[in-house]
Amino acid sequence: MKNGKYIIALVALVVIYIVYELNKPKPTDWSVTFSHHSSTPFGSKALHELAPNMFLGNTLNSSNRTVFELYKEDGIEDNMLIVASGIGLGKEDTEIILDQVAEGKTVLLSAFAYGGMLADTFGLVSETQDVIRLMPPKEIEAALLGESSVSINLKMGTNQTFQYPELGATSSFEPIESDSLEILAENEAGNPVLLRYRNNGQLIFSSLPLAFTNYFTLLSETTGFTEAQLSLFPEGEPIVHNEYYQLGRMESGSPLRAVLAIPALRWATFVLLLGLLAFLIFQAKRKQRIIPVVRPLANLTLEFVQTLGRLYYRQSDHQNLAAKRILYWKEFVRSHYNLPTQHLNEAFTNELVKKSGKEKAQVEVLVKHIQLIQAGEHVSEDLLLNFEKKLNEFYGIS
Amino acid sequence: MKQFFRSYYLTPRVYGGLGVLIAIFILAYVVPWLFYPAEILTYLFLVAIVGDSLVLFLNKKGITAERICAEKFSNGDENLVKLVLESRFNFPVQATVYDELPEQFQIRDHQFHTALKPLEPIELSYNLRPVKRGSYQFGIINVLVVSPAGLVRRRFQLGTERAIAVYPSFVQMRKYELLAISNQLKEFGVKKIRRIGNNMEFEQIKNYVSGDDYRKVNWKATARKGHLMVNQYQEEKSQQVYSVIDKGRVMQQPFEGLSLLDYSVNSSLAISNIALKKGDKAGIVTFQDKVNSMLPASNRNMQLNLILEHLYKQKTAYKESDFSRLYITLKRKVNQRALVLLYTNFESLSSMRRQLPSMRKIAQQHLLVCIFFENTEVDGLINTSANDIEDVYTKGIAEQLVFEKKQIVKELKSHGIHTILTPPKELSVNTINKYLELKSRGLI
Repeated sequence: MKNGKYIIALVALVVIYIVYELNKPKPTDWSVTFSHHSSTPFGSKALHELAPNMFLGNTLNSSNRTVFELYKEDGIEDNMLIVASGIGLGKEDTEIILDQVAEGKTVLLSAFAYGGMLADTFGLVSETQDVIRLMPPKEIEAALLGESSVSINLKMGTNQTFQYPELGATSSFEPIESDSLEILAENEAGNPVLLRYRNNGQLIFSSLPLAFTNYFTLLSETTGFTEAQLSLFPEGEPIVHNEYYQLGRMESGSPLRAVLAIPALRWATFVLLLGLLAFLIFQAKRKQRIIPVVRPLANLTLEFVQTLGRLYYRQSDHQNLAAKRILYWKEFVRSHYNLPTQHLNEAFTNELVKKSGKEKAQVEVLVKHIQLIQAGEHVSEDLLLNFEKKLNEFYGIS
Repeated sequence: MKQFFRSYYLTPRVYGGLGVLIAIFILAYVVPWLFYPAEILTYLFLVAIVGDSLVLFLNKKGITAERICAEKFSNGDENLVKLVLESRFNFPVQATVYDELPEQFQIRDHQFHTALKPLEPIELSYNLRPVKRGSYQFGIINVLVVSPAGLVRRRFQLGTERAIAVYPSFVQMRKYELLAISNQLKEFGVKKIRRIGNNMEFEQIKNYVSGDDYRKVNWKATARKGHLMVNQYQEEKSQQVYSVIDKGRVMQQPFEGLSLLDYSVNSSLAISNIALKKGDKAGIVTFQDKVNSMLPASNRNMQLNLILEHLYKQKTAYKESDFSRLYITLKRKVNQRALVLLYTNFESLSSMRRQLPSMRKIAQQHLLVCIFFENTEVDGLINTSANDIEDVYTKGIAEQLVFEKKQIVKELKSHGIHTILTPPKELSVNTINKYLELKSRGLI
């Protein structure tokens, strides 16, 4: 174990780091979730716990389904509170909300920004400075504790004024022209922050979603405004807090959820996973020892000859190559047929025909070729190829 | 527990079974009544796997296996290895045997499938052809056993690791030894040499048999005996035969896996053995950039063993060989005229000419036989027809290489140096042939 001490040192370092991370004071989580589980400043656990007091007996339930699913598929008959950073409802959701309002329901929407079909229907334009998401946690804390504040004036009931820390009231609506909307609250600049549409029931738009968070629900200066908004719901009727538009479905996001929902397919999946696991554990094992790769010596003669051939080919001295081949041929004739190759005359040809058993015409053409080349005839590429053919015939290479 | 995991394998049948179960479950989505049978099947299948595991792993005795092979392997030859397996299970099993071969063979898919009946030993055998001298390490024997149910495999790790030594081809040595003594070499391509020279040392008078030279008929003895008798003369004995092995760069080239060096080593061993049997003295010299080792020629009883060990441990860095150093060593250390069999290789005339002066010097004092190799790799190239002009060039160059080797033979001959130009495979035969020829011609 040569590396033993390094491994120990590494493990020690990792352990120290983990202990350090665990003991580090946890920074406050300033993320905006509006979640009823969350006790961070911008969660909404406080709202749910205080609901029975604030709503004068209303119950507040939580749901992670769309408006369409709740009203159409589940057929609930409750009023609805939707809190999100931004709300942009499509055609279906918009129609359903308007239908529900026409039937006498109360729906309260609260968001920094509005978009989509619903906003278009009422001509709502949000003036948003949704800065919280972009700010570092330390600055958020400083801004909330800072002096600067915005006053929100209620235009209903007691006409109260609430002092909001500036960060808590950054959004508002642009002044509206529609007659169907009633202004329930404004900020100091005179821009509406709370609007209501009535049609049997009521549809309320708020531009201050932070009012429903733990921080502002519990802050003594602002808790009244939260209460005032919630008091718009009819007394005693249950309310659904719809978290879908901020958090989504909050259920298993597994792409297998459809498969896992059916017992037969769930079993098939588990059997498959079991098989894969078994394969990993039992099959991916060695059956014999590792044999290191040892490269055998290679015989590079062929490569060498080919390279040399290419080099000569670049020179393209056909005469020279033909001379080499003639030398080899002569040697072949001398060693195989015991014939002197000094004079390639008629007698030689006849003798060669006899000894080799080749056809006379064939041998004559070959010898003719050789004589031509030896006589200094210009050797063209065609001649060289032709010569190759004749030689092959002579050597008996097909 | 760790041991259990290491020896536990599942068969493809298990994965097939799981696949079928999955298919049934998917079918059960469409045909709901299948769901419960499928569920029950799954449990049964798991129980079967567990049961099979217990059957295989509760048996303590299991399997025995042993590897039987020689302690020394012969380089370049097929060497027999046997495995003896016996099952102590009380039911027939299927076994897959992985024998861990030495890494030099680079064989990774070596396995046997066999059926084992209870207490009936079986023998498996295979051949190995090493192409390098040296120590070879066998591993253990892995036996994977499957019960008749065929769901679980248990691995037994049996036998012991063992090192064997691969020696220069003593198989070849023995083969040629008997043949050379009994003059049967022609069956292996060694031609019978016509006796040209005669030695005059008288040995005995023997009966005439057809083929004997009738000039040697001893008429006096014939008259006495009433049938033909001939004089027999002794062959020259106690001549020195040195196998000189070039361990330089040029000897690295492999043919059929075996390097030229190993061919030379094998051949040296065979020729030394024959020389010793014929009453001559055999010795070894190896050299590369300098003379690395020298085993003086001798015909003591243990000389063959010394030669074998000497050749076994030859190692080389394949440096450029220096023939002049070889000449100096031979000049100093070999005082009697000797037959020097020089194993080397020349690819071109110029490389031979570089060494020629030293070789001529050696040839002045000794009978030098220069042994070099035909390049059998280019034969294929020469014997195919070329399709385009570039191929014609390649072929032309290949022909030139072959031609030059023949030129080398002629040029050496003109300087009184004997040559053997041989394909690597036929090296031993050709060398022995040459030795017998030179001996019978009385040239030493």
